[in-house]
Amino acid sequence: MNVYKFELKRLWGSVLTWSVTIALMMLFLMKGFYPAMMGSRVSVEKIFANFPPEMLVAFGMDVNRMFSYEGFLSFSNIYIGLLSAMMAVSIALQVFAREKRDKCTDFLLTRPISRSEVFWAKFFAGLTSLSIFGILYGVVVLFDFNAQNLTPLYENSLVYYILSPFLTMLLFFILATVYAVYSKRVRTIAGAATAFAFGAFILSAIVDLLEKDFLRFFAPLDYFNTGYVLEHGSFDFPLVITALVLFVLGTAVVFWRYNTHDVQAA
Amino acid sequence: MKTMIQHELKANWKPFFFWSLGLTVLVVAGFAKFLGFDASSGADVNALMAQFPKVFLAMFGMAGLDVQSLGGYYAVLQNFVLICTCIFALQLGANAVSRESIDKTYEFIFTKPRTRNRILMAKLIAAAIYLTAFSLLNFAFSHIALPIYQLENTISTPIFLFSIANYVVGLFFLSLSTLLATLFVRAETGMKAGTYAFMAFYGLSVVYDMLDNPERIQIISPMRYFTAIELLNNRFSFSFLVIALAASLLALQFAFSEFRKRDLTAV
Repeated sequence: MNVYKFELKRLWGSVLTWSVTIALMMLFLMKGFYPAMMGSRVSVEKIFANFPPEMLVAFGMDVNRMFSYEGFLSFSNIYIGLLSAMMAVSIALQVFAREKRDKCTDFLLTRPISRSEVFWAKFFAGLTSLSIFGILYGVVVLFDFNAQNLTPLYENSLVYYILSPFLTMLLFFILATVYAVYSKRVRTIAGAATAFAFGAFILSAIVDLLEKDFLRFFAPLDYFNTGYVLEHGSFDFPLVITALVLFVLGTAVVFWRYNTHDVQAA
Repeated sequence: MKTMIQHELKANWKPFFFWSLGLTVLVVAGFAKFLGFDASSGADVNALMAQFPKVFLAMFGMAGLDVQSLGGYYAVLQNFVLICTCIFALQLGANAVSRESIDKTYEFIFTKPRTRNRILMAKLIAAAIYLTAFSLLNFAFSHIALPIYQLENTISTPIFLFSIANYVVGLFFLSLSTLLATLFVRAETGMKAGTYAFMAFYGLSVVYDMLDNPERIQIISPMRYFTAIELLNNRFSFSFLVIALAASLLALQFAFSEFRKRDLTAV
């Protein structure tokens, strides 16, 4: 419990700055981008009026869907997801590379608690921090949605948009944890988090560009793609399974490694 | 000097290798999709896209570029290469200033009979060498990728210009992160500042693509100093080249004067 409390205390500032960053981003998107997007509806409709309706259907160009709040969320999620992934990586590295960076692993592991206890305390401290953000995000989106008196496109589909950044976080948390316990040293957390998240971002973009179906398994940032939700009303099921498998497998690997690795004397 | 540069090159070899590997995949595999397109249909699409509001196009990831032409497609790829270049440059700059502090080897290097200026200079030269190599690889891979997919190289001038543009913007980010790393005592804070700067500039580049008259914010959006449309028309903005280089020199000037008087501590 002490480890858990200690970690939470150390993480608290980081959770705050990240939440503020993402909130500012969301505010910018809601107040700046959303009106501009809705404002362009008229001219897009005018152009679409010249198209044969069959063609629009064939290309999935449904104006009502594109200019819905969900359409907006699915766009904003590209960037919110990116930031969420960065936050998750940063939290994971802070929790699991802390002793490595301060060269005090021996101090922690000579306390009278077992390694697995330390591990779970750290693990859940990280998850708690992410959950705090996840809840905040959900409340903000729901609040904004209700404030605008909108009706959802599909029943309950708003849940997917709210959950998407959080689930992406969980996945990146575990991926970064694997990196943290296996790497010899982590020089700067911000640097690693940027490389991680933007690497995944570019990977997603390339996968998107190449339009090969099987490649989507290589784009972890899009496992909970909200663009897919916009079209189909739910997540892409095989990807959800992949994420789940990765999460469980990752946790097992990290747990094993944390319990067995040799500690470098300071 | 030579020994220091060699040492730095060796120390930063691994990240360079991985970034280059990423670059290879990005540039070479990126072209795979282009095969299917028929170049002759490009004109109609262009005219059609021009009608749409830019916000709408940006939303669906086609910010005013005709991805059906080889040039437009290449521009999309190069935008990702630009992101990579910037992040790589950020890390090179921050590393040059803070690596010894993080690894707690700073006492060793800074007690050698060489001035701080010289040591930082050597580190930055090594960083610049890697950034240059990265840009050269980008240029080379772009040329190699086209014949692999039996594409006719109709864009050799734009390829050259894109490589130069990415390189110049990369140099700017290298200098910026060097400055930020010297401004903060803790390496972590310096890197964080660099990250925030990068995210802000990236955000500005996204906004730039969405605006109908983006020229007003071009001066504060270094990632759009050299726009794809310009480069594809074989034009290279000389004034922004000067601005980018001047800003880099200014940042370095401050970085050196800051580094000279900073208190060296671990982390």
